[in-house]
Amino acid sequence: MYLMLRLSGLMFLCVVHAMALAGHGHDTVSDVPKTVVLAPGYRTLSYPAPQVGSYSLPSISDAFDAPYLSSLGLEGTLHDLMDGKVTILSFIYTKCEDVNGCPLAAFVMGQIQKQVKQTESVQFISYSFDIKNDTPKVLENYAQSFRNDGAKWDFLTAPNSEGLENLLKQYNQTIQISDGQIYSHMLRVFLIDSKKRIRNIYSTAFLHADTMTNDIETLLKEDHTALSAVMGRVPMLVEKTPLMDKDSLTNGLPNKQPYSSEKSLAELEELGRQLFFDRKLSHNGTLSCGMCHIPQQGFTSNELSTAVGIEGRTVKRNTPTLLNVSYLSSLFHDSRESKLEQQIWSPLLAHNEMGNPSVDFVVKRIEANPNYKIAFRKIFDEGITMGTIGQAFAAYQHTLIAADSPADRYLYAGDNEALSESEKNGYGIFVGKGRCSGCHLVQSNFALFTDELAHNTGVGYKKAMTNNDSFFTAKIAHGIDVSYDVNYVSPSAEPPPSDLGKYEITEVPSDRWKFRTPTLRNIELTAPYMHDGSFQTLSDVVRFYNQGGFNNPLLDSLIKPLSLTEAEEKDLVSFLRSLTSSQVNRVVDRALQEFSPNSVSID
Amino acid sequence: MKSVQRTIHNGLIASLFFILASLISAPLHSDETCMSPYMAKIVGQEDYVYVWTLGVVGLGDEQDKLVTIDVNPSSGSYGEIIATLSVGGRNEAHHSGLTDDRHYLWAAGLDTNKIFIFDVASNPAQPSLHKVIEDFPEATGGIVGPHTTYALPGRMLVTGLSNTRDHGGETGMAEYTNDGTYIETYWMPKDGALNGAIKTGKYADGFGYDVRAMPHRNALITSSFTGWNNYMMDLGKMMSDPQAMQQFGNTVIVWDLHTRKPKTILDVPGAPLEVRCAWDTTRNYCFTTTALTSEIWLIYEEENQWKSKKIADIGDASKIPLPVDISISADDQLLWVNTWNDGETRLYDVSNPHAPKQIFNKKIGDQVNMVSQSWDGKRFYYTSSLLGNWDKKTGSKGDLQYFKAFTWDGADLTQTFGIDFIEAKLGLPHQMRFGAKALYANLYSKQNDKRVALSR
Repeated sequence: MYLMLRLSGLMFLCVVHAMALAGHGHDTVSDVPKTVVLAPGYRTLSYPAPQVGSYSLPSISDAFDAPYLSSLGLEGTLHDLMDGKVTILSFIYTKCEDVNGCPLAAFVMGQIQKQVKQTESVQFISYSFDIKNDTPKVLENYAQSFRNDGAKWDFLTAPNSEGLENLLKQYNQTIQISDGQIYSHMLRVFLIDSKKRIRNIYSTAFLHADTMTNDIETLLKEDHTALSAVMGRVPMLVEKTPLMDKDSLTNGLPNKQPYSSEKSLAELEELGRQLFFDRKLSHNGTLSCGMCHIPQQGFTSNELSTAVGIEGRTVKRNTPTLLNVSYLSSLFHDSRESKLEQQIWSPLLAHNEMGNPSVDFVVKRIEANPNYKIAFRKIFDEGITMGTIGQAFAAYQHTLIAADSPADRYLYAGDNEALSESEKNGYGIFVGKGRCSGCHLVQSNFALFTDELAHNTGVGYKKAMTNNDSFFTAKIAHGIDVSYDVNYVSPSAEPPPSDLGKYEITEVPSDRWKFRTPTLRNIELTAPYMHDGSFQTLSDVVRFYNQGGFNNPLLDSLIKPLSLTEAEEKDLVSFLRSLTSSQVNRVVDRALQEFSPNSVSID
Repeated sequence: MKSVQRTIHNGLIASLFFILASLISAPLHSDETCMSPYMAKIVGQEDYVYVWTLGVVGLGDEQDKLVTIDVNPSSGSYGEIIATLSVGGRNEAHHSGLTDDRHYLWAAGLDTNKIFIFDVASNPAQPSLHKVIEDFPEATGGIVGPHTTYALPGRMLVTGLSNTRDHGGETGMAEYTNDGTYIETYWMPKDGALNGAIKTGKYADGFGYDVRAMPHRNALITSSFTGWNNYMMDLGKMMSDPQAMQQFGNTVIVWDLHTRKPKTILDVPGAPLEVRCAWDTTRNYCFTTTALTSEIWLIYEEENQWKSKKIADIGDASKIPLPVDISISADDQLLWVNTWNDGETRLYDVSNPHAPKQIFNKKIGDQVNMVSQSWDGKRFYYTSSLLGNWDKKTGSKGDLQYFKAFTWDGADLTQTFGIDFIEAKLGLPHQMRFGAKALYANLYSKQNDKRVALSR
């Protein structure tokens, strides 16, 4: 399909457009430059047009209504014409000389008029904004070239300049005029559906009869139910799994007083959940608790050795998991907290975590959300206070219980088939030769796998007291390593933070480089390991302990070389993997379930 | 006709022409060509450069700002900062992009996800803040880190880098109207959710970074970087963290431009960043560079199949040169590549796109990131900042955080002027976009009395 220029008998070019393309000076206005490059709409489409119905066109906005004066002298508004038909709307002025401007639109619309079959359901509108020159009579004369048996094609203009101004603004039409003459405008053609919604916008490089005809036919094909299905944005979805058996929820965990509140516990837990995932509870609105304690990553982060706080500030320690935190009274790697109600204020206020400048700031942020205000008042007489905020966060975290692992069923439910031979061997090493249970306690009818005490295994000492290698080989993708000396970025890097562990709290010298024993429940899900996330795999960890940790003057007396064979190391790792709860998916699902419309809104 | 001629003559500034959206395949010597093909372009002498600048704790007013620099040699304030507009907060100001009509400059923040929409038409010498999009993650269903703001007809496409679930690298792109109303989200295809795309190699990570359109091939091409955790983190901390170093993108995706559906996922390991496509419509290829492995890659169409291929090394990867901004010449023969860490700009002859040859290089500063060329390829502008927590903190005066203007004569770059952004207490300068008074001359919307301007 080669070009057929329909320039209404006027072959002079629009200076600004084609001239610049040809590189002519502005005083050669009257020449048609030989090197003008014609828009794709004049030529065969250089790729196959997307198939009708194989895609959907999102709704861009409602098509704005505006008054018109037609070439036949009739008045009305655009919506009168648009209702019930698919409309191609183009803004023109008949004096437009740019071969790639209005004449292009006219040419392409003419081609569509020939191609489209559903002539009763489709219409064309050319709306002139040149109210000075394009009177109804001029328009009707211009329109003669386009009248045929095809779909209806109206030629309209604005009845007055007030109507024009609003129209240009609403449709983002840029026109430039001098001495009352238009000399330039930005070509935009609109595809509007039968419900008066703009579904596509075409400019010069994008105008082509083939793709536009397919767009029209795609719109004609869609029905309303299909439309609403494709219109909504698709959030990142999580596969939901069915609820598991609640009776086995705590199998393997100690009996304890469940967290109770005189208040309505379910409501408090739900309030806590919403606060937990609310990014507005950080100073600049970017972080929530759930973005370091990520449900799908074991309520920790698998992608970072140590955390990153507000504005990218460094956190020097690995994020601990919150699964089963309800059973702990030693919180943080340095055991500086004992109660969840109090603990929450550390990350909320820490300059390098959520960065809130004060307690009052957080209280006011929460108060600013009317849904929170109502929920707090309903549960607590005192409303939103430092204490009640802490209780809400605590109530939610107390629900993050995930036990009943294969190891629990073996150890506490009498299920001898729950573990494989290798896992059973591993358990034997765990409580025997491996000496693991010396700190990672296993009791006769439950196991927290932690003594909640702080120990020096040498990880912290090594980092602080030896020269750490600056040469790294990082695996950046499957099968691809890059090697570099990190000193090459030293002008950018802050000095690595030091970490003395429990000593930083007690200032007792024997506490140097002691860190709290973490739980091993769900350890498979909570890589990387150690207080600084410096161990990537369980095999790395087991190997470290097999060596006897890292020797240092304050090495814990329980740490000794183990002389495990390679097979024993593997069995031990197998056992550690068997500590993964059957309940994790349920906990994650509950964490992520949609917030109901009546509950507080979060981002 | 004569009156039309005179009218048009009066409407133009003598030394400047411009094209509005009619560009198809004309040769263009401009980093302006590195912008969307749907956008109006500046031909001739640009008047202003708008520099989107990141605020720094302890420097000046510590917040992000749009800095306007006069770059027209015939202006009385040539080489000077003529306007600054502070927007509040440190948002990790990074990239910006103009709407197709060049009325608005969309400048995004990778940390707070705010998009600041500046009006650069009403008074190009003094941009004003028109609107701020403050709910980008909420509206888009969870995208974090608006990066490239790219003009489509009447709309803007905004690529993301991360997400609100875990601040990792999975992300999407979002489409907005020119006046900032959300339309749709397109998630990057990934393993387990390919969305109809074909995975041609080993990787389908779901990561994103840059986007470019090739209208004549109905193609949209996206690249992949890393998530908020990494791009906000101290660079030394990140490079010492083997866990974090695994979280980089390894893919370039070719999409159907018209339908916005992903079609082909190509392996380009090592974090492919900027994408620049050839302008000649007979050339169906684009260049990209990989940040971690320091390589140039070719994305090309052969027998109706899109493919990717490494074509060159850039410097010595073990020294972490970190290639960043790149720029293709109008005639597709030359490719400029900046390496951030050594502050060098390098020029490659890519007349044979499968075998580039480095033919020139020059040290611009202690670090370098962005480069913008003028329409005629004679003027080059460079800025220094990459990311707030990645940038070098120490260096030489005037060479650490700067805006520098050069002329290029085909053989050498010669500096014409420079502005030290630390001495000026502004912050870390990043993306540059050009402004020109003539683009907005005689706009109907700016007429004082519209009834007189155009009436029966």
